[in-house]
Amino acid sequence: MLNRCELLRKIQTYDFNMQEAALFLHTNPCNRRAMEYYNFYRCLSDRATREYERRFGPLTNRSNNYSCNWQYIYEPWPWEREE
Amino acid sequence: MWVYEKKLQFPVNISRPNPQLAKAIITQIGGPDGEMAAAMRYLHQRYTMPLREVRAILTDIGTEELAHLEMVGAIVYQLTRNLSIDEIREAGFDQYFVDHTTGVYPQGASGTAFSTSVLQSKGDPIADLMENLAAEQKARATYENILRLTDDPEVRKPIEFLRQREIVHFQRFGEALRLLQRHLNSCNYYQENASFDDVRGIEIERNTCCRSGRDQDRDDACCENGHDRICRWNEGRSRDGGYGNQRNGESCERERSCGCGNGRNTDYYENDGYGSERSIDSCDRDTDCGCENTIL
Repeated sequence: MLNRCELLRKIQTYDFNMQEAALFLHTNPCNRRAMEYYNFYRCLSDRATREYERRFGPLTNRSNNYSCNWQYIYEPWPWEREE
Repeated sequence: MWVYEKKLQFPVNISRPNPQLAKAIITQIGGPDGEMAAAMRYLHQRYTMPLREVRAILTDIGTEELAHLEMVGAIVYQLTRNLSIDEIREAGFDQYFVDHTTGVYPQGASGTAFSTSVLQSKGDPIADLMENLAAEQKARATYENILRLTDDPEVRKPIEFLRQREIVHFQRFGEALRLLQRHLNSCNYYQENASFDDVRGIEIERNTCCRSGRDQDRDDACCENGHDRICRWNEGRSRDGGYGNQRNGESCERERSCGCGNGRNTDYYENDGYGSERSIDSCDRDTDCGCENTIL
């Protein structure tokens, strides 16, 4: 099972791929290949994000909160160095 | 609106503080070609941009620049942690320190505070897009200068990533400009300001161009694509609000058929040359939507 950093890195990679495809699709909206590429990574990103949030806490203040307490504040902030 | 995601676009993990370097890198927060200027420039140019495609580009590149702003902030923060007063003095960081301690403040390398005088929202699409192309190149050159100043691989990696993004954004803005010019009078792009003047004349010109079969330098068929773009443009500019999906002309079949991927993995991904993560089992978003654990 991936640790927090490894799983976060996966999400960052998938989201980067989506961002890259999204920018391309803005000016090439009929490109099917890019659309499939985007959908592929969106699916992986959703799945990885779900696993991350279930195990480590929400990534946004709109995410599922899988605990009775408000978990958003507890996980490290992005500018804190990963140990 | 925006929602914050609690992650960086690219990881920043710097173990060796270097306040002298931080003083140079901070220019990509508040300097003349920095990320704050870029985000403010694009996010304010959006409103008067006539084409939907270009509005999308400005919105999402502007948003990505905010993510870059956060990355540079993380770099500066990590380069200035755990400093002694002697280290601050020796590194020439004392002038910054006396004003901001180790708080991250948007300023240029020379200490000048961020100013919107480094950016423009001209309300003229060609002028605005040309400015953006130049801005991306200037930011790339700045990141290259930063790379000349450090050998620390932990600093270089995120800076190299940011430099690459400037190049990609330059390419996207170049496409946006070409797309815009396609909608203008090709005999004289400056005949009208497409953000301000009545563009009906430009649209007629565009249709004529399509029918005569000129301007087929895209991979998509010129006529159906060009016509569809004009329809969507009209739709965005119509008085009955921006929400309608009614199109006045033929619809673009290609576009309708391109949203059906559903994220399923196919053999296609094994050979498409896009990069990593080829061998992942099939992923069917329709049946695995993650709603079962939603707490309402």
